Amino acid sequence: MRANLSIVVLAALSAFMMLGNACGDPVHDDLVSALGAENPKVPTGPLHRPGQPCMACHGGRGPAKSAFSMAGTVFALIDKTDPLSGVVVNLKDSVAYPDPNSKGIDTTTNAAGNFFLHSDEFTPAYPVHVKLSHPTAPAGAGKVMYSHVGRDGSCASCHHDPVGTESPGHIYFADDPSGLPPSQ
Amino acid sequence: MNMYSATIRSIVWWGLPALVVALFACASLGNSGCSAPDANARTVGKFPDPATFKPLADMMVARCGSLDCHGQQGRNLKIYGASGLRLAGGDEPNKAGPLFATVNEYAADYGSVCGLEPETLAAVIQDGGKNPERLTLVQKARNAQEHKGGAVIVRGDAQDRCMLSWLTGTIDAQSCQDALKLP
Repeated sequence: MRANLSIVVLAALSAFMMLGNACGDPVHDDLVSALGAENPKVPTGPLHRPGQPCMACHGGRGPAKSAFSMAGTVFALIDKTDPLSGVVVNLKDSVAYPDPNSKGIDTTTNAAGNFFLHSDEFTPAYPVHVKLSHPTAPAGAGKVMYSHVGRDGSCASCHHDPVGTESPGHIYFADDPSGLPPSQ
Repeated sequence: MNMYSATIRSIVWWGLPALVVALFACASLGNSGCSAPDANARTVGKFPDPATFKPLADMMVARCGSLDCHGQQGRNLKIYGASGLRLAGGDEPNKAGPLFATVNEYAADYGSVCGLEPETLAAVIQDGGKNPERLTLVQKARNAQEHKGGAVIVRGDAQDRCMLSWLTGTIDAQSCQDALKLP
């Protein structure tokens, strides 16, 4: 009787150990941990954590409650980290891009330079093409992303500092101040 | 008799649980494996001419090699190019213009494509490109095998024609060029 109990306990422990490995996602956990603590001067919300990979927390696996499909931060210039608000981020997925009548979907950066689309308002059919414009910027100003987004809704997964073989650096609107809106 | 009973009880009490633990440990260790591949092993076979690779590479740089897909260091199929991962320190992504890759990047991309399944690739080449779906490269691109990027190639489209033509030994450069116009 006692032997049977021992076997049952050991079997249960073994099963628990095996199942325990399947319950967590250490890669996701590490990704979230690597973001570090919140800036105490910025409340959690639309203005927080500019330049970080938003989908780490907002990708539907937590810890954030709101889930985004695409999100990022636009800075004014390549060599500075001043955010640029009011930038119109135009996204065309593989459904919209071939259609000359489709304008894709627009979203606008906030005061922190952040933009985001909730997963229930835009579910991209990758690849996605991205274009930046600003209503008060000089004519012709803005950026068109040369390549496409293949599968990652976090712009900062690829666009992070420093510039190197694996990153073109943070997203920026203009090469120099002459390409910025007058108020900047 | 009592001694036998005590021995049997002892086996039942401790032997069986120990067996369960040993089996579990064995199963866990078994996954780690100990044998290494033969360092001198070489795949001998017919491979595509590197000179025919550039149009396909250009297509793959544009279609497969973005930084969030196969333009990542950890990929088995790793694609270098001007619009994605760069090979040489000092080169940056998206400084593209008309250049799709450097000479060294083309060479690395060729090695990456051929090195995925060299034996299968050699067999497909040997057969003149017949049954290309033997290759994971083709299956993944068509999403016939689970592919996070989905079906980036549709059977018969310009990309498909480009890739399959390379496997026949005669690259369809026009299809590769047309593939670059796709979204």
